[in-house]
Amino acid sequence: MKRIKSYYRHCFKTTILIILILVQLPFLAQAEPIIVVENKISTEQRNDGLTIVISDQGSKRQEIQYFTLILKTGFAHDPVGKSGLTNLTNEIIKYLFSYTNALYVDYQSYADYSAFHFAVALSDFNQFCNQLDQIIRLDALLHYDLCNELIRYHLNQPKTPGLKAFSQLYSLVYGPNHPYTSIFYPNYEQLDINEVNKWFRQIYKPNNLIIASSVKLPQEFLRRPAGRDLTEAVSLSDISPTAVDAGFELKWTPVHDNMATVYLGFETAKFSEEGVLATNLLQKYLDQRLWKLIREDNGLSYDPEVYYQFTGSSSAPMLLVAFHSLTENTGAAINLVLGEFKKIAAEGIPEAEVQKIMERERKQRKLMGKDLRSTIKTAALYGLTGQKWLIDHEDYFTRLTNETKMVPQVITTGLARLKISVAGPEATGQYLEDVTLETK
Amino acid sequence: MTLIVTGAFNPDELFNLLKGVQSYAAENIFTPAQRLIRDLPNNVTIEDYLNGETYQILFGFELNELTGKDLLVAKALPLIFYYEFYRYDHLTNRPLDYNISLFNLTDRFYLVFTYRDCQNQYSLDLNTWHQQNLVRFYKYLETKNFDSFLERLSLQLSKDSKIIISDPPALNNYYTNILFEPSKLTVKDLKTIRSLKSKDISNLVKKYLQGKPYQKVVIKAH
Repeated sequence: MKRIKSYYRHCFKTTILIILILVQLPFLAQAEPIIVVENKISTEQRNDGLTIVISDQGSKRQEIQYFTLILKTGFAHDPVGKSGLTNLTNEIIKYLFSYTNALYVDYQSYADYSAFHFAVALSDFNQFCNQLDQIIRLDALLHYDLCNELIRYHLNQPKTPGLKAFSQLYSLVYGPNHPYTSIFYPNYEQLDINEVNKWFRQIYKPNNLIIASSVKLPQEFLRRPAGRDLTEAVSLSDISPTAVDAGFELKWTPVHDNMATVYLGFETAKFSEEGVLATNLLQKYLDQRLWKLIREDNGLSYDPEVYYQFTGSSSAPMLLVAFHSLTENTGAAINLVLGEFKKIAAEGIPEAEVQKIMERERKQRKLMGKDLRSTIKTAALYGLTGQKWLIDHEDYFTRLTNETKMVPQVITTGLARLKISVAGPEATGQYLEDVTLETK
Repeated sequence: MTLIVTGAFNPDELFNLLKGVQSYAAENIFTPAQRLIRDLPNNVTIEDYLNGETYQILFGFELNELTGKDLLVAKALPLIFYYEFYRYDHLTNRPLDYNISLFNLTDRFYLVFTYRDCQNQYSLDLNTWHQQNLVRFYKYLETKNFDSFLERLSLQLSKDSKIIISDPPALNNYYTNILFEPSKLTVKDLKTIRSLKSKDISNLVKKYLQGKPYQKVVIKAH
């Protein structure tokens, strides 16, 4: 009798197990993989294409949480003849986002992507996600007046001498019709709310978004149906390679100003390419070195600054030196920069300086690790680029150390195709005649 | 010297460090501030290099000593256009993007309307247009219902109050404004902002702007 009972119990258990497996199977087949990258950061790639990066704080949750939304469309993806469309669409979206429960909304426009950063009270987080969800799933942005106001606002922005020099540099580095230059030549006259809506419906879809958050998203986030197909893959035109003559070039434009605006730049590695950290190191060194050389030692300019895609407002890959100078000092200041470039190309960055930068980076990274806002911004960038060094400090320093020896190579290649753009008073030209790459 | 420190730190360590800072009690070396606006003629036109603009026009009002609701309305005024986005004059096809700023010198407050034009050369017609805009602006402030603006402002300040709790730089900025920038709107003003009505805005216009003398400065592009 016991054996019969035991047999039936065994059959019952097995049947239940089989039923459980069968019930689970369809879900298991559809399960969305979660890749745990580091102890605190996990990435989820949903079936609908949405990338979610979560930075888990464990039990120590603070009252204010952070959230970053990256749209994998930047101003360089604007359709031909409709430059400014991505920015205009995002500005309207930002307006809508500002009416959510978010404590603040910050929007940044880049060449390859757009980013929205939010701070949200923990108690409002689910409601905020719900509001964001509703905005992204909208069929159309019914903001005719706002769209017109924004267009008129942009049309009435001053064309500053600095902007002329900056746009000229982009044309020199990437080619005059390259998508990276589109930000300087917006076609606001061609844009309206209908164009915005067409673009919005095309690009605001889960598979074109990356979300980084310090709190797990609600299960239903962006899963509810919408009046448009949210699963359709977003198709964006590829950003073409640069089409310019390799070689040193200087171009200057006379402008009505009392000083000259100078930009020097060359195309560099992108996030995913080797040399990105060497260029980052170079930017950090040059930023302090040129300040000392041009401003403190020679008094030729008061505002020399060096930018790279990490620090600049554009994700276009370029190492950029910018400064203003009095007309008569322009050539001398440029030659000082060129001299420093050549010195680094020959000798690299002095070891003591590399160590100082490394030490500062360690402190900065430590601070960033404690700052949830920075952590989430970096996590979002990691979601976009897949570069592990962004979130893994040891990997970052290992790569940075390894790439240190690449610095002379990066600047040698850069010097060979360096472009200089100057916008200044009429007399500027005569002071640029002595600018040369040749060693005197 | 006033030191404002916010964030995670040990106050005792800081106080020990500060013991090393030499303190000195100097006489009051500051002379009474000059009344800049009153010392100038009413209309000033100058030429200078402008950053892409054809001209700038500024209208400055001396509001004297402001307190209570008047001060709060004056602090909120610069945010009205910001809230209403970019206004436009469809008759002349010109933007109405006046930037309003409130600042103080000693105990006196000044309200300045600034317009930067990138399209037109300065002319007498434009001068008239700007002066009409001032009148239009007074009427707009006097008659419009600003309840939704004030509600939005309260909401924003209430959001700011949550942010400064967890953000040391924002908290530092808050204390700096409280101590040294009486013209800046801060979370501290939230309670009074909630009690403001559209009528308070209208009162400020009648009391300090409408029909009152102002200083006009035109800067033409060189």
